[in-house]
Amino acid sequence: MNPDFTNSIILPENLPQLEGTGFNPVDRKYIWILYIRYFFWTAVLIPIAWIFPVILKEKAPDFLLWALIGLVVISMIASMVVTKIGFTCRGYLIREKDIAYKRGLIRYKLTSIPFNRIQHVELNQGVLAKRMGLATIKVYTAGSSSDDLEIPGLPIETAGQIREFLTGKISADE
Amino acid sequence: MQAFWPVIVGILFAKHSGKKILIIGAFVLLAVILTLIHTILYFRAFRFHIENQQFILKKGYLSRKTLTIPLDRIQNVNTNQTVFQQFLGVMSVEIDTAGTSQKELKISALTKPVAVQLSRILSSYIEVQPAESGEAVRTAPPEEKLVMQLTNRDLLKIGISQNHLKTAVILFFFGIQFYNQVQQYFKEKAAEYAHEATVFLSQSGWAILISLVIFFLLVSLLYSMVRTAILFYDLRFYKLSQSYRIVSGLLTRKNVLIPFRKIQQLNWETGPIKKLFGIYKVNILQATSGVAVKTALIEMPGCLDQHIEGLKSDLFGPDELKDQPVIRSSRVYFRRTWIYKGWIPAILFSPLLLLNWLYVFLLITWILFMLIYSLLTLKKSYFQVSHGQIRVSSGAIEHHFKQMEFHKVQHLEFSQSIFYKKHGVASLRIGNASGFIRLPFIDERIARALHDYLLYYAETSDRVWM
Repeated sequence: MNPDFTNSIILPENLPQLEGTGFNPVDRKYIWILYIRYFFWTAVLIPIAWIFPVILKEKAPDFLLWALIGLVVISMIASMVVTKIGFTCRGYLIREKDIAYKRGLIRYKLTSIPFNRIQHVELNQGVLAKRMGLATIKVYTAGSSSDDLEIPGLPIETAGQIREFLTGKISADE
Repeated sequence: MQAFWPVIVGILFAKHSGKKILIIGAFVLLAVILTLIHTILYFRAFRFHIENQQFILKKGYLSRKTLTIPLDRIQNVNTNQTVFQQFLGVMSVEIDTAGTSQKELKISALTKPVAVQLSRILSSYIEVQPAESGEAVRTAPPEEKLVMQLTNRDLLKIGISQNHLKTAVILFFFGIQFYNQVQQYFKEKAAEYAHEATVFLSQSGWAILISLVIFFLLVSLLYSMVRTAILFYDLRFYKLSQSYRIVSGLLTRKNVLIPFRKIQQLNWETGPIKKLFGIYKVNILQATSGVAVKTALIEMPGCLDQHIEGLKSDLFGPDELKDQPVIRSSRVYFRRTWIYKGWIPAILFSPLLLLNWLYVFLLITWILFMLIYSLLTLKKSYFQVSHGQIRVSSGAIEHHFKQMEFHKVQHLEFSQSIFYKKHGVASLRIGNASGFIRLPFIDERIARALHDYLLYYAETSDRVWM
């Protein structure tokens, strides 16, 4: 290993507003966006669950409708509980030479991209995120789009700072 | 122009009143004439030449546009010939430049000798491009060595040895889709047939099921043969000093140049039938700028052992991997595969038992078959690493190999399921510019160490990944 190589953690003071070492958490308000997504899907799936037995007509037993609706509601609640517990696991980390993001309780994932592989950086805000003052940072590499690193639920100022910082790193490399 | 044919045919066969036909016909005629005039003017104004290490193109008859491309910015030159073009004796040349904002430049309908010479000249510039070699000095067209050529007999062998099971399953699902679409138009009849089908299924048992399976396998065999013949007809694989050239195709004659340094990953696979013939199917994955994505994955079936060794030595140098320790996936992988592909589908299909309890034998057979399949999957799941490269083995019935160099790493993903945390097992996905390599269910410490090491390697290597 090259003895001159260093990759110490960049302390959050360089990115004002956040405290602590180790992985930095995302904004707690973000969990509400996740909850709203679950509500939305439930709202979509319940009518479908309701139509399903109607199509089958005489073939479907009576309890099928309630079983399906129950299934939808239970999976929604289960997903929300898992998300809530796993929310504290979410975090991002910016070091001297790379950026990483981890998430997930049941399916834990840690994604990293070295700065010298970043093609460009995007800052996105959905409708809901805008109202809450949150944004998503998306880091693109030369790989396929499934390989992009996405950090949602960042406060808009932090997201802006991260974007500036990363964009600076890209031009520094060239 | 080609787009107009369906319109004309449609009009000819449509039932309109006499006056309507006349009006529509007049419009069509006008459109055809205008297109002809435009095309003639366009081609007369289309001129290109090479001067001062630059490719200069002038086009447009109303507003003249001049495009200047420095020759060293040309990344790729490919040629293409559709049936129509073959008939007329012309080809199109596609020039791919660096930078995602650049549009791909396509020159259609050059006469064959001109197209061939143009692509040779441009290729020779690409050949000499690597920064290490200094100035680009162009002399004669680059030396090409024919490494492999597929005969019709080879095509036959390839067609037979393709992965039929997968094709059969895909075609089966297409069949179901088709049936569903038909059903919407013939609701009553379909209900009747569905009823008949369920009665049929519950009464006829094995014979019909087996013959259905055979039918789908035969259809997929036919499909493979036809696809092989069309895509890989007279495939010629050439080696230049720093790149490969692959020419193939029956209806559309494709000519693709692959510089070595653009190759991100090499995949090769063998299977039971392929082994019988001693052939491998090779996929070369190269990095292409945004627009020319269709040449990113190049398939080359019918390769022999010596071709594989040649490819590996051209792209990766002498084999530093074969003596490295073999790192296998955990037994957890076997369990998981068996559950996901064996038990869960069996449970989902268990309602069939309501029709006829004899289906339990089918379900048991499936579970047993998946047991063997899962054992094979585990057996073939391993990898070897050296300081700069990795080779991964995977597959169950077919045997897949993937090899890449570490400096091509773009992105890393370490993942762990909560169910396997206590076993200390995790997966690592290594992404490059045109594909990825997955290390499933390996020792978590190795996964973490490799993750850290690959980050270090990508951050310190000054080798160009494209």
